[in-house]
Amino acid sequence: MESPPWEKPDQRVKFKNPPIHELSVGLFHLPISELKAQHIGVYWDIIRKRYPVCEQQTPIVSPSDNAPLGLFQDSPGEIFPLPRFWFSRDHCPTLIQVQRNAFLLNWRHLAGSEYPHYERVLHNFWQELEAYKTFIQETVEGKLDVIQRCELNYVNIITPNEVFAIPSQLPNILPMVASLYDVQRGNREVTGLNATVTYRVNPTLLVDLTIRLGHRADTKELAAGLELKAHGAPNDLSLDGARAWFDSAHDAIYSLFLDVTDKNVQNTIWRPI
Amino acid sequence: MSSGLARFDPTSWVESNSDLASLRHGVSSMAAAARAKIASLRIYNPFPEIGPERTAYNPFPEIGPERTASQQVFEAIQSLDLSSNKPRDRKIADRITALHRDAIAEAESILPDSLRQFTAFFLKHRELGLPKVTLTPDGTLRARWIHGAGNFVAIEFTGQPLVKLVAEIPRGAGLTAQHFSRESANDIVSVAKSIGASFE
Repeated sequence: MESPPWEKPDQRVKFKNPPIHELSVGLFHLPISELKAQHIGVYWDIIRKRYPVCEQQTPIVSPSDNAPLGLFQDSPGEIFPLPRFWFSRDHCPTLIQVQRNAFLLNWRHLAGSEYPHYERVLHNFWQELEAYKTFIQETVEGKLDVIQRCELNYVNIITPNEVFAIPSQLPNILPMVASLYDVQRGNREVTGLNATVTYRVNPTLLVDLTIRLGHRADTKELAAGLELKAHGAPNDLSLDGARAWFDSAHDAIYSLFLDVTDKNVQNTIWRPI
Repeated sequence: MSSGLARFDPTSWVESNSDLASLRHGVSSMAAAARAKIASLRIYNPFPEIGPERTAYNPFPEIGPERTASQQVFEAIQSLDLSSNKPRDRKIADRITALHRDAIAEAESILPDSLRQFTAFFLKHRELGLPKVTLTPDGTLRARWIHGAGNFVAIEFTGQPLVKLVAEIPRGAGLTAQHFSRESANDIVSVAKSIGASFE
């Protein structure tokens, strides 16, 4: 019997204590104007045993969407615009998000939960997406086509450790920011950072690298955020094309993470398996 | 470690401004109120736990995000798919999708300026019938309204200010008028109609 994808041998380095806080996999598609609030109840009924909590959120607008037409324009028979829905379960790291033009699955770090790694999360994503696609076809008579944008988003939060105890030690984790500290003079010192750089990997794939330095709002503890978000769309804008796109996106994020983070930290704190 | 769910949403957007003017008119605009809440979400905060909180103000609204190559194709398809002229424009959107995928499979593409011009044309001319749409070897889109042998009108969307018009129009007594010209995209329909072409 063939091994599941997350158990296949992988040449990539995996870490025992990765700083990952959240991983989300998302797909934006042509808005399904036939999808109404009453259909969401039918969908929830299908997944309710696994995701008994349903919440409403404001819809996500993709930053590449010049005019988010389908989300906000009047839809026949609709009084209120359809929100985004969260489906989750208490103490379960998986969150499903659905809105008229998107389907997303998030893995969120919870106390005691072990990071299942990309392959497992992606497998869950496709499994849940398949169920959603069937629901859309059978109940709404719609389709998840054409694809607008795929997103693979790693949110890492780095809390104080042996080499990162004060803001000036951020370069120990992220050597690329060292030059920002070169202009400290007298009382002028770096206490926070908020920057995003976008890398084009190929015509269909961009990666945003966001670095944030500050203190946690809840615990006041020093923290650095490192977000690597791959976004783009397969050339043919198809769902099938999205499979290969996500793997390319994962390769690009993996490679960028290794390039921007310090090797010593990788080896001694996050520790390769 | 926070649970993430309540306080942390990596896909959430900080609201900037909203279309509050639309809230004035009573109940019909409860929906507008809901819409206003989500009208201008632009600034993404991946780390809401790490203070200080960012302002919701975008200091560089004129600097847009980087986009991938296929984004324009998607936008054309979406604007047609969501057009108020649904039956015709959805079929055109499906056809553009198919043409785009065929082109990609053959390492070709639809000329972006042609696609932009084509889309604007059909969104403007809601009264025209459903044409046959093809992709030329040059990557431009061509729309043809065929009524029979020797009776058609075709527009090739060059992506330039002048588009190409080709028409064959029966004149009676077995005669067929043939027209080949270039005309402004804005005037092409009226010019074609003036020579007897039909866009039904």
